[in-house]
Amino acid sequence: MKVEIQMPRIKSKFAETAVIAALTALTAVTTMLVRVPIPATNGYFNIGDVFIILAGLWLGPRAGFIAGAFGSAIADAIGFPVYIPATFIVKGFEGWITGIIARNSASNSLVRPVTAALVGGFCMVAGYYLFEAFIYPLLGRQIPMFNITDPGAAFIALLPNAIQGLSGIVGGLALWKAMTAGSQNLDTSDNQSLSGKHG
Amino acid sequence: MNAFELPAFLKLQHLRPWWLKIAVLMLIGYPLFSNRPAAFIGAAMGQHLPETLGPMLAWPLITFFVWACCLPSLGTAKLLDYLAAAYAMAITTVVSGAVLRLALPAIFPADTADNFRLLRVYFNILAVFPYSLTFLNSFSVSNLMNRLTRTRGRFREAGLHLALALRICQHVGEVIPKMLLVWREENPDLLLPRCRDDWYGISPLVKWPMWFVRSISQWIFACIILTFEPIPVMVNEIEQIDESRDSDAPDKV
Repeated sequence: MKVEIQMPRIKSKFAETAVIAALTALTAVTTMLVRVPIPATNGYFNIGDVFIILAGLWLGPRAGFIAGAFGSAIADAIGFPVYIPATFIVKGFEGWITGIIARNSASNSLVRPVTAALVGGFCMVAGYYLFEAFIYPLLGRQIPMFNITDPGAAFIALLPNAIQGLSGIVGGLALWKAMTAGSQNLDTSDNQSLSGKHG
Repeated sequence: MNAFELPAFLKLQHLRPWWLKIAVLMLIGYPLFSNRPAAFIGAAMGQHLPETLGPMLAWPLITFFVWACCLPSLGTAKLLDYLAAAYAMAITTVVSGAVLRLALPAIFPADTADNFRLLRVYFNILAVFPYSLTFLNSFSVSNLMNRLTRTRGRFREAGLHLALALRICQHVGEVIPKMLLVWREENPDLLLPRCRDDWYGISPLVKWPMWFVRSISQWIFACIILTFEPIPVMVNEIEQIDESRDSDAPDKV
């Protein structure tokens, strides 16, 4: 008998708003929780990507974008405001692309969610490199505030960003898997139709 | 601790109309998001003090100013709770940055200017964290919902979504300072790895990363549980208000 597992579906529009708001706030909190400054780029390493990946995998591209863009930008406002524009775009895109790829993955195969998380993490690393190596130096010519990084510094930041992306992928997938397992247990033990399709 | 109360008129929650409240809050937060006030204070103090001391003192002064503005709205007990969380975040940021600079200079190269920036980040976190929570708590969700119950039209639903999101964010703001207590009280072994018998003899190179990953993952799980716990009640409340729209509407014949 084939068992298909799905994440808990949120039917109420208000419940969806509440969960997206909670994931956005949690993204901001976890981004602020562990911050390791990277002097070369004036940026920092964090573990906030865990909830961005989770939001994309669980609730789709819109939730992934909101959690990534707003949650991370709020965290940047506390201590590193110059990175708000880059973070809004890069992290928002990370959540959106994760959600787009993982959307409608109804089977119990892990290939699609893992691919989605990997692409999301890669987009984050590539996006920050793009901003730190090219866009910020270019903007810095007109607005001195953005003159904080250069291609060399962006190259140095690739390793911490890659570790950050990897921790986000692993953590996000682990949380998503834990929630999937939880919903499967709920379904089989209590015979509730919160999640899962048996066929 | 007996927390003293400041006069009610100083509380930002009581400021009306709402746009004036936002204007005052933005005025208070202006030195945190612009370099101009710090540069001005630093330059003024630099005339009387040694060259580096003036700019260095500008940030603590701005931080004290923000705390003083937040104090009447939050009260002493709440402000101290928020400051505990802010200090934990600021110290972990600065210490982790400093340790990694020493341990991995190739990946984290730094000079004197970077140390100065780190100090600025430290005070910035101390000031912005209580400020942002004061900003969030200055708006009453219950007042907003009361207004929405009397409102008709397309903005009502958007308002309800906004009220719910604001309530969730306020709730998370309440959860964070408590999380520090949870970490200390519930997991003393995680904070004191040297006291753990089962880790005796294990190399610190293994012990510390293990402790770090376990502490963080436990913190995240506790944070998820505390954050999601009241969501069904909040959603139910909003849904009841939303449903009351249909019952309040005049009957169509």
